[in-house]
Amino acid sequence: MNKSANKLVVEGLYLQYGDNPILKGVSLTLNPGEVVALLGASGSGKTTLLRAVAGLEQPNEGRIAIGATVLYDGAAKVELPVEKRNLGLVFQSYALWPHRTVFENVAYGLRLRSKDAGDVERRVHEALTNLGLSALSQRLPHQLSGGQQQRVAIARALVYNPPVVLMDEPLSNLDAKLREEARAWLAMAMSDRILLLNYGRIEQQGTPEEMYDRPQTQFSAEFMGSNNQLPGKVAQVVDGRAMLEGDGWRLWGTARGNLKTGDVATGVIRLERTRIANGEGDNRVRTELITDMFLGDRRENLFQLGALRLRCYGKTTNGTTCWLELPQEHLWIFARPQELRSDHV
Amino acid sequence: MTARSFSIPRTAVVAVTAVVIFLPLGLIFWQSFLNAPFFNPEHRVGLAAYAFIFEDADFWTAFLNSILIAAGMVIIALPLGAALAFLLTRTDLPAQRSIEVLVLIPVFVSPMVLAFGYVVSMGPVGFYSLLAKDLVGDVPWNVYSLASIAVIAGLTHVPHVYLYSSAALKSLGSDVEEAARVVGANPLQVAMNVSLPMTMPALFYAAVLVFFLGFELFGLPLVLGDPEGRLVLSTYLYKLTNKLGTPSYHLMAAVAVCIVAVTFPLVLLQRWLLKSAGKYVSVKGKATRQKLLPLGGWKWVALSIVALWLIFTIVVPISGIALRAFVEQWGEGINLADVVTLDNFRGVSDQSDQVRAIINTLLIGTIGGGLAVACYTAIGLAGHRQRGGVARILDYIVLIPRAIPGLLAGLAFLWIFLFVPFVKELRNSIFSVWLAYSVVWLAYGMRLISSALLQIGPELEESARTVGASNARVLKDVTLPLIRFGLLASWLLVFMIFEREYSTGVYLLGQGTEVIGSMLVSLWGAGAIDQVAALSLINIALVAVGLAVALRFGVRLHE
Repeated sequence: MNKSANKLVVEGLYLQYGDNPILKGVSLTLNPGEVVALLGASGSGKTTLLRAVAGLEQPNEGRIAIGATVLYDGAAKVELPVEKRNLGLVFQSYALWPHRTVFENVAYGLRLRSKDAGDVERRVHEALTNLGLSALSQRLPHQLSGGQQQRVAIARALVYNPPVVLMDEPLSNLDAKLREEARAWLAMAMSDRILLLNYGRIEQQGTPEEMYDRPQTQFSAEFMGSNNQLPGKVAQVVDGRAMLEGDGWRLWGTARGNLKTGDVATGVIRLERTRIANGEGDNRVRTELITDMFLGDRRENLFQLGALRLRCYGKTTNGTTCWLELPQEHLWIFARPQELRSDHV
Repeated sequence: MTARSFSIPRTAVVAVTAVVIFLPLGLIFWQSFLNAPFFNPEHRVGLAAYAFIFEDADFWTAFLNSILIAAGMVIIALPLGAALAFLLTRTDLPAQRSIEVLVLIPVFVSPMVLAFGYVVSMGPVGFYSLLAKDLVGDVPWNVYSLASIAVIAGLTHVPHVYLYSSAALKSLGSDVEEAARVVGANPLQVAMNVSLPMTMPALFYAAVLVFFLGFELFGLPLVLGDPEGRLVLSTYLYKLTNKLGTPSYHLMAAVAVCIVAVTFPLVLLQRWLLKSAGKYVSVKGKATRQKLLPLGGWKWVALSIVALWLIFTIVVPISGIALRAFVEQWGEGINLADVVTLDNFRGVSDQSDQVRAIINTLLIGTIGGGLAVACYTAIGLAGHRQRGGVARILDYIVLIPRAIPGLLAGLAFLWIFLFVPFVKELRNSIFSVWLAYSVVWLAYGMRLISSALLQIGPELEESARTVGASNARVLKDVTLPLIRFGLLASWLLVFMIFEREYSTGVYLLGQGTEVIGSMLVSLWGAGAIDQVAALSLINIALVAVGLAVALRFGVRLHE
């Protein structure tokens, strides 16, 4: 985002359509210069949150401010009209004006800010050139490909230097088949910080490393990365560690949240942390190899443990019986297994 | 399906369509270049007919009147129709659903009936004129002036503008407007820089359509222009016979060609506008809920304007007809209670031709409407999923009848039924009227059918082909069952249109071919006001039945 030293602060934002709450008290802070990715399953409220910040949805309560400028304050009944918020928003549908050329689409925001004609021309050309669109400035939107339309929409949102640029599904047109899981990887690669939204609440926020290595909830753990899940029962809890017990297996792991002996819990471990061991040992389980897949740089194996299926990378030794090690520090044990929606696993 | 598959049924459909369109049109053209009726053995080719009408001052007055009325209609109907569309699609105006239905009524009431309604309500001794005279001591209007005709025609064509602009406003995604808000435009700037320019093609299309409809106006100027002798092109054509006393078909044909010379380019312009509007179709995107503009206290102002318009275009003429149908006579100093009667309806039932007109009108709407829809479907299917020449040809030829006003089409079909062997025998059957109606409304019917066909995804038919169905089986098992409801809806709409039609039957009117519409024109000419009132009311009732059925089954009243 740009030089302005203003933070975008959202506090306790609550929004409902009729009786249907979409945002249930969302709070977040965006620091100057930061790229923040908002992740979440479809229907989690990502678009609604962006639109509420832009002023296109009316929240029921909460507060939104950029630096000293209050955009919305439910308690003080402040609601700045959309056009006064000076934000950039890239729509998921791009929303280019079909009757205006590429140049005119981008120039509109500057003209509304009554810049002189030469200045408008210079800045629009600069923006178009930066996005590789300078040759297309006299085209109409319907004469552009989807990717070009998207870049025009981005240029239009950036050209007047708004303090915050919001992008709704900016990666959707890079590859239509990109699944949500893959987008999570991209968000990790691109962002300074990730906010994970789950049914209108921020589930967890942090740097990509924090999100990946120290998920606070089972939802966070499972939203990113490829995981093995081991549903079981807590057999023992000893200072921060818990022993999970299942059908014919017992494993120690790191307790996440409050666990008591006898609780129903789920162990989650990243695939790359699951190891093929050469024999019996601590935190190891005996499994049967079902099948394996060649992935190019490595091999992914599928094992059976009672009724469970476990996956891991690596070369199996002879025979179909294998010992897998699930290191205690990487096996997170979460209380109360949550129903996960199928569309992001 | 293959791009250019040749099949006998398809070729036959295209050939028949071409014949019923080009034969009458060709006849008009040929006749216009003769110096006498074509059945007169003395006829010679030449420009005598054109020379005659171009030297007639009345022709030029009529031409100018046509243009003035058409332009006046655009000036009146365009802003009102667009405002109505905005109010009904973008604001929280109360009672939107009921207003949406009421707005379309003028489209389905015969202009002949409406015009008559204005005469009996607001003419010099109309019901409301006399009421006004009692209140203010004078009748503050004159419905027979050119301005009045333009105002009445303009107000009754508001629905046409409303239909096209509301469709454009509905398809205008709210995201493009929101995008303008986000980059800093206030609501007024959004309206001026985004919403209005994006609905411009639709408004321009509607303007051309209204001008076109104004140019071919017949019923309103016939009834309202008559008392002060004001002619427009169509009434000039109609009165030519009276003027010369002999059937001057060559002169009528020359006027007809002049009318088509104006209307045909307008039809092509409409088609081009509709096509070029395609680029304004907003980018797909997620359908976001339209936010309605709160009108606040203004809603009552808006509602009263809409109510005033509805009162003027629907309540005033129809109440006038309803009253007039039940009184013996009307004029100054007459007490309503003294003149109430059912004699007008008895008068209608005593006349065998008027009874036949009612029966024929019913038949032509129900059976004739069904047959017309069947024909339109056959034409629609002949071009369906065809990318080759056949579809292109069909696309254009079905447009042609659009440019021929009903009066002219009726005239052309009269000549065909008079002189073409084998069909001559059908001259005195209602078939002649049905054929003319079906050709005149071909473009309208085709729009209904093609919008039904557009609902079917091509993959539904393609998958039937892949599992082994022949073209004919696909038609029978997939396409037709899927458009069934659309066809029934089209039948209902065509029923209403056929009940309402009047000008096409004017020249075909004869023993056995009476319909209410042409009967009204003829009775009006003869001054039989009582029977005009009674038949008009019956006509309104027939259309109302169709409208009620359509509403009951949730049929969209426009294509």
